[in-house]
Amino acid sequence: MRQYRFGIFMLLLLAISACTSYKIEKSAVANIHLDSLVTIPPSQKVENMIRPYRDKVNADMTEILCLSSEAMYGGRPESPLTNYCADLTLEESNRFCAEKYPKIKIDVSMINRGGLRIPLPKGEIKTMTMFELMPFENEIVFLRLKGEVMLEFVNHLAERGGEGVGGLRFGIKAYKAFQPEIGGKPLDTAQSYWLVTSDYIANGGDGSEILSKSSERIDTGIKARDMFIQYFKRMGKEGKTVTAKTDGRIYDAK
Amino acid sequence: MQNRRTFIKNLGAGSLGVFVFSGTMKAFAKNELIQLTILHTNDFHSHIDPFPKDAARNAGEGGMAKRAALIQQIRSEQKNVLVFDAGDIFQGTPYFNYYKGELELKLMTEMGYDAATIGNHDLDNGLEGLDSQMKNAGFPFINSNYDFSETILAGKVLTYKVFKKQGIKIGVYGLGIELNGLVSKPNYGKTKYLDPLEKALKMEKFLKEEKKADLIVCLSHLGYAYKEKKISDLIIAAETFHTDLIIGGHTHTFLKKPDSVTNKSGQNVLVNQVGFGGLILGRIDYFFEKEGKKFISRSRASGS
Repeated sequence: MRQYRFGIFMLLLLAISACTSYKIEKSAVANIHLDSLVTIPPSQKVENMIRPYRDKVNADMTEILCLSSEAMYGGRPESPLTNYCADLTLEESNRFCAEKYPKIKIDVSMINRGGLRIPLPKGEIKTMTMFELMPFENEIVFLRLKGEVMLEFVNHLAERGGEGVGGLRFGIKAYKAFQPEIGGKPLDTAQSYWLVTSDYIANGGDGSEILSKSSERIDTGIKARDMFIQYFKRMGKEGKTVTAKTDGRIYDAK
Repeated sequence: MQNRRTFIKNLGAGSLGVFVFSGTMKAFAKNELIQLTILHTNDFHSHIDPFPKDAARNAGEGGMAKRAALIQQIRSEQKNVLVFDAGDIFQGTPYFNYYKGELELKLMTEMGYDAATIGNHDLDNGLEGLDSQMKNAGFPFINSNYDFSETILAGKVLTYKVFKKQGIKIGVYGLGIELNGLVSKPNYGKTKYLDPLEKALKMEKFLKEEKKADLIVCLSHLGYAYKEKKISDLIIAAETFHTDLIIGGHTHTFLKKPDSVTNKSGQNVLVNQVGFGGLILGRIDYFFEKEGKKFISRSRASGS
């Protein structure tokens, strides 16, 4: 009986402590801006944890890939920057296909203007430049498109006032593509073509939903930025200087 | 502004506590208040180093080594500290491209973060990308409105957590933004996005009634506010009953001071967000009063 009573007492105690609640009496806020006014020295332990990672990143970032003879700016309907980036994507993709998919030849490349975040500078092109140009983790995708789907996609590019394209030439007339040519020949709606672009565009980004109608899709898993780095590195090794021009691949056809 | 300068100088001299307590000394002496300090970041986007010296904005500011030292100092002054992050830990500097979030999470663990919620950029390397990095996080990810049950993250993300500090129960839940259109489909796979307000109402009720939380905190990556009717922190704050604090992210909003919003039970809810890039450490101090006896009599009356 005594034990029983003691048990009840303990239970009651437990219940009381379990039921204790707290009420907010007041609150105070002071967000702290980590600027020069915070004079506290950085944590040495955290600094030591960061250092090996930082050293490796910095060493890579400052590597000079190649030299450029002039600054390259982006723009519409075409521009040195968008043309150059689309052309190198086409070239590198076909180099990749020759090794891995010998039966595929990529006809057209499309690199969206908005995905190229800075102009390429004159002089040294470094790994860091590539991270600034393309901070996103976009991957290279190959799409097989029926001629009519390709035509609709080119019309979409015309409606946007032009984008970065390679292997493709067209005029813009009343927001539509005028006399589109692929590989120097008129676009044939009875034929199929291979397009290389980023997964962002292939997944319908920037209004390119039409690409969901592709008849085949290859996700290469290659990051667009890595492809660019590889290309510029080779330019440097071969002693070539990067130059770019516009060539009328997208023109006003009023 | 002068106030802040004075304050920060005091902070540098190691007398932060004095400033915070100054207005509350009397109350302290009388009622034995218990202080809880909540520190938080959002959208720090892999800014491990301070902003570069030649940056157009915020040159030389931020940096995780400095944040770590600051948190350390506050811990040395305060007994009850919780540190939270409201998402988008990943993406923004080459550290992420190189190490996929490893260093960010290791440093947060070293700094003693208690929990983080998931931002859209935390899925930039897909569900696998987050899953493979979780081993570097010595703290849980909390999200209540993504259904991961058919994904690789099933069972690895908490829907809530209750922290205890000196007897005070702090219930935390998390809300994430609509993924469709923001994150590429392959990156979120079979994750189901569930209505954030509906989940918030369920979670806060559960934390209040079942878990008897004294303070309910929502870690949100919904965004502070939108012109259109899109769900946001301000809407969650106004439409809930028991949530006391919303620590927000996504919109990179620099709030000079937290917003105070009246909720459905007529109580004030604090909504705070501290920009991005680890430039600011959010700090909110709560002072609690024991309400034990009152509480017991109430629960007796209700027959429990």
